[in-house]
Amino acid sequence: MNDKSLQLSVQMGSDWVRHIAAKELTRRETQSYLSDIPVQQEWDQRANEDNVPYVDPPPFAEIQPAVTSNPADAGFFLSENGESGDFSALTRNPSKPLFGDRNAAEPSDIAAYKSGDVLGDGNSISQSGSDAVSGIAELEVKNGAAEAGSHSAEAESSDINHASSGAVSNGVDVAVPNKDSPPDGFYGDRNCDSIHDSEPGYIKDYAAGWEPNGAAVQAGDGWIRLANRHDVDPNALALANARNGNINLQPGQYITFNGLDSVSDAGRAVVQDIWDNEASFSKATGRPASRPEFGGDLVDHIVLSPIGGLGSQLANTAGDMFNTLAISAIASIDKDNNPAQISATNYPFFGTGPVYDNQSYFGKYFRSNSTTENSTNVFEDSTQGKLSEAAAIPVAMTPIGGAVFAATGGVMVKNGLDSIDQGQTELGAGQIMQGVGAMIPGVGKVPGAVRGLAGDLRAMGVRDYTVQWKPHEPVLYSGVSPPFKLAPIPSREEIVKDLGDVVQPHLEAISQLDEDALVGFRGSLARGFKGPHKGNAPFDPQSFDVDAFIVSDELAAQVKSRNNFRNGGRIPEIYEIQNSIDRSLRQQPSFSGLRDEPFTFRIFTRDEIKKFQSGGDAQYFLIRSGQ
Amino acid sequence: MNMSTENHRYFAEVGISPAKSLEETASGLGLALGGVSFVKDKEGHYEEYPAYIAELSGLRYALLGIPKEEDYIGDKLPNHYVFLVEPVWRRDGESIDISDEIIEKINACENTKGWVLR
Repeated sequence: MNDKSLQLSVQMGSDWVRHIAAKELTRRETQSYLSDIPVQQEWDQRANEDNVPYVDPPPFAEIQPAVTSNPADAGFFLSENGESGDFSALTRNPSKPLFGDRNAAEPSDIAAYKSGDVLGDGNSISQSGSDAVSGIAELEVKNGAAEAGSHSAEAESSDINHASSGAVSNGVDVAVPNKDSPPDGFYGDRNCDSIHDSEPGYIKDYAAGWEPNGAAVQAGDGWIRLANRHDVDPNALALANARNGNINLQPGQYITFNGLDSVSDAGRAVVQDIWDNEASFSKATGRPASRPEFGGDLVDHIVLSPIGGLGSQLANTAGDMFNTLAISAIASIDKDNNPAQISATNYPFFGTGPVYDNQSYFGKYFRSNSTTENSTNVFEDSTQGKLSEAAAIPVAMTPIGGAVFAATGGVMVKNGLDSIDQGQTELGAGQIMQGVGAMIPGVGKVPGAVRGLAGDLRAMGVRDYTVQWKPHEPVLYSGVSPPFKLAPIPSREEIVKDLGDVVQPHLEAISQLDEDALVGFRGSLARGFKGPHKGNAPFDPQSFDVDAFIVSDELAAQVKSRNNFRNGGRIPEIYEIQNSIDRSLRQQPSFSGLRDEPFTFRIFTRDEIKKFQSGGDAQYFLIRSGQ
Repeated sequence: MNMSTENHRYFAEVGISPAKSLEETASGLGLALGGVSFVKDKEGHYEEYPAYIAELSGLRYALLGIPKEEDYIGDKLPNHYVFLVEPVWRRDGESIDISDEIIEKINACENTKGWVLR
């Protein structure tokens, strides 16, 4: 796909196509920028010589311009295959480039260095042996000379962003990157898809960003923030040197692009992004990662939350899923289907205990250990081995895709996916309900009981939650946070209120077009349930549109139409108002379920709207302030 | 249609003879437009109007049928279909009516010749 086609897609595509196209354009611009830089060319050449199944070059740290094109003269190169392990003997000039090695084995001595070590002026690889981001931040500031003070507070933070900030003060000559004009001396990841997402002032997204195809993750980079910033690399081939903080990644299962031919040309990085979502969800549920949908399409959990009101000990409703989310399927998949793989030797994160095959399931995710330790109900972050607080409810490990989730913040019953065994899901749900003291009338009646429990909770004023995807944090191998977040499902009343708040400021402008114009909305948002063609199902706050209208004989007459489906967008002033409202609505959390279609006013005559009204049509009208 | 990549808002509205069923008409228009695939509007985008819709190159094509009489809110129930073209998503460029180009394509196609209402 050529650039013009991409530009056209940016302008005219549906929302997600525009997203993909825009990112691909960004990637191409970045690549073009980098292609002219000798050091990048050098690294490209080296990458090609590696003969590894990887097409694109690995990313770069920020490098001062014209520092060197000779690897021997660069700050420090790790060996291609990891034979060079004596990193302590090597000192790196922080102003010179350091490249990771995609195949490098983990240096034996790297663990000897700890956070905060300062080895003169050189940021040797040893310093990156830190296991804490905050330590690196300190280190960076220590080297930061005059400007360090301005970042000192940040540097004490464990937030890697701040480490990056500290690095800026370190005088790496990256200045403060501006997404629209990368500074000289900055060498970004060609595949970095977040370059335009970065906030000015933070190097992190430039230098590291996200590395969808990275064979190396800047392992052992003296500027450790890069390694720490890497969110995901399911295709990573070797990450052994990334002994920094959270980046103990494992080789990932390669996710193919089957079925994505039509879009793969338009931004593989972003497609990978999508697939990462898919993959992580697949990993959580056992569902095959084979369909090119967005994560959001897959998240259809019914959430009953919180359950503390029923006397459960699960009182924490903070929605922090780091230590509390259990995805029941993973461990049992392996246990049931791959017993031979359950051994300490192929489970790298733990010396003992249950194992899952990270090649098959690239299981850097949460799992419940209740499979083998049925009574504990403690959940482990499989990457870091961190244990959750014991959950008070017995979470049944269910077979593939059973997907009963439990969190201290609530009970989530997964449903609706192809591979879910409904019976098992219901059984799991029922067992959860047993845990909260609900009466289970029998497995066959569990669905009704689940609904009953939900109804009871709602009657108590407990609101529903949903699982929202974090599209730009697709799979955090670090275990810092899962790619989900719990978010309250907005009520229809909240949506209506926010709609009113957004539209209200525009009423005056509409009245200037026709002083007698009325503005309102109808449809499922007004009724509370969908139309007969959808079985009169309840209004869905997670997928809805707004049937907005303007009642104005005058404006209706301006829209020449062969029927009375008059799109207000035909009137330029209305078109601008629609756009403004659309933008505002999409910034409202309550409108996260607004469908990916432009907000539009349909224009009715007064007689027409009266006919709707005479048929019992639910309509909301918005009143101008002061009226 | 020779549409540039500029950020124009292309739109069209063309009256179509209801000689064929709405589905058949949508299929014929799809051929006339060079292979546009229409699907039934199950979401009710066009409310009381039954419709077949398609999206291509940033444009939404919609063939609106004739509403049921009990659903119709106008004075006189239309006796024709309406073929609409509008941008899929908002854009800020000039508004350009491409109805004539759409008509030309429909008339140029053997299967749909004569469908356009003047």
